[in-house]
Amino acid sequence: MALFVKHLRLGLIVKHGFHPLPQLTAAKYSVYPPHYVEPVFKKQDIDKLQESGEIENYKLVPFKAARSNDTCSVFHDPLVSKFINYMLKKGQKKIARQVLENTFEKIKRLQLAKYNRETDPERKASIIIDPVIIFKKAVSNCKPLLKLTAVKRGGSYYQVPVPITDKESTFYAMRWFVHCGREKDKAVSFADFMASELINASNNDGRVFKKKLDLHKLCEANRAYAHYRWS
Amino acid sequence: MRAYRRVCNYATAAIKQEAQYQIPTAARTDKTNPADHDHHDESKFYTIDPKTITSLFQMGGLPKPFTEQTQMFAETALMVRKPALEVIRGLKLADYQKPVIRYLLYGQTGSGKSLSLAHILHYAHNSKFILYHIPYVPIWLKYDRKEVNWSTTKNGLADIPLIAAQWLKHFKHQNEVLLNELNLTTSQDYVWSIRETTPKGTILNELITHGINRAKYACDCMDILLNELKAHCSNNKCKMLVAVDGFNAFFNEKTDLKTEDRVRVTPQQISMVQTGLSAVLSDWNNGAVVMVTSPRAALNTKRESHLPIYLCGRQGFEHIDPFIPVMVPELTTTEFNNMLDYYEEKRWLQKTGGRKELEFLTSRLPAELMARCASL
Repeated sequence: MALFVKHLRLGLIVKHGFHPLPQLTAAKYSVYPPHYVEPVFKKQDIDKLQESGEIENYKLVPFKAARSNDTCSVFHDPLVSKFINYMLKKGQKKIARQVLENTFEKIKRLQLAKYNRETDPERKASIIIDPVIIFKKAVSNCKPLLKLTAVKRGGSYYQVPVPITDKESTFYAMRWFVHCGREKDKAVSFADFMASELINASNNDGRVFKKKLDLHKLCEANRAYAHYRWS
Repeated sequence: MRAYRRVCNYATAAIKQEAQYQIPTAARTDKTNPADHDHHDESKFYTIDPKTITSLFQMGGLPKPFTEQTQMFAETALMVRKPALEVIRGLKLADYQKPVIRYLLYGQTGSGKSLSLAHILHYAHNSKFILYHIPYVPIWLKYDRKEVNWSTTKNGLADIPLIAAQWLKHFKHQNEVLLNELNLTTSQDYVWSIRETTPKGTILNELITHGINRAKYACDCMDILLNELKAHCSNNKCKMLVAVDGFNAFFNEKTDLKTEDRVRVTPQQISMVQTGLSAVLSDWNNGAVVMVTSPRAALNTKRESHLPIYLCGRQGFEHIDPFIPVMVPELTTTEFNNMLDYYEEKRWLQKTGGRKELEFLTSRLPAELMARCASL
């Protein structure tokens, strides 16, 4: 497939006349060359850089433009906006955002009900109501430590446990949440389901947390293949 | 693994930070009777006891999101605001021998008109007014799932019997105690059919019960009840407050309702609407009329302005002229901060910063603020 793409590209070059530097590298597309730096889009961050004098280092460095969902709002959270991107369908971001906001409201309602029911002041103080903290806790609780990749050895594929990067494990956890939300019973709304699921996961419980444990179990079962990673 | 731990620690660190932060408490007044409220209590919260809530607003009157919120907060706290105080002051100082004064609350969607009306209703209830309260007019006229019949008594008008019966229940629920105390009676015989009559001198409670049980006559019962009450008020036997929320819906171009012979009726063709319109006339004394116009009560093609003359039209404006317009503005800065303090006190708002941002996003409209804070 990649070869085909390369040929196509060469064909295009032929069509448009010879380019002085024909691009024959990876087919990955980006507007920005690799030396462009990620933008600092929060005003508060820029102020901090200015205070510490670190801004001098950025003076001659070209920046990427900020994305349309990057804001310097106090309520902006990169993990949350990433999650919205994972759960959206057909680019309908507005709907996805509203659904997640609904979810957060429901989390708060559930937790507040618990909070108001509790009489012991110490336990009362320990109840987390902030939905974003619950969300983060839930995601971090569901992040796997290993993953399985298929490695071909002697004509057959083996599921080999390999270490996972932080970014990828976050992606795994969030994707599990979204998939669980889509597999749920139709009578329950996505927001309702997600709210209870996130609260459960923040207490090391629930379907998504179980998925992580299942993956760990599989990795444990396939530990005999671990050396296929390098040999 | 290290990164994993770091993220785990993040959550606990945030909790620790929260423990250090001093959660503010909202400014409140101890005066539970709205008659005592004055400008010192402005922008403070006062709590209404649950008993009053059930007796006043059990069958409508408070906006739904607000009711949900009160259930969660386990208390009903209203902010004392200037427009309500202004009307209450007017009610206190009015000369009740003169024809009734009409107040009109108007303002943008979500600026707190209905809750101001609730405050006024609480005052009126405490100072022994009979409440002729129409909780929200559009629920009469929207959603075509209702039984609509042509009236037998009034030519060319249509009845919505079940809705009228429901409203009578609402009226009875609000005023039962007061009506029993006052012992008001009917001034003439009313013949419903060959077998059913209400003789002269019957207690009004019985008249209402008849309307509830025989829904066919509920619309007529509503009208008769209004005329009786107007007469009693003019004879100095009682005081009455007519309160209409969503008043401008009376002058909408159309309704969703159809009669059995599939004729679409306009609001003016409905007998209940005519009763409501005659309630706000100033042909009686010893009472007051408070109306609320809101863009949301208008048809969705006619919501550009919140000004009464735009919403009611020339005809509606002339119907209620002269009246005292009372603008319900957005929250002032102190009110806004107190509102957020209240939300933080009740743990509804979890983010401590960003007040300026919220102010910008909601343009200090309380309903919008409530919705914005829902996910924060």
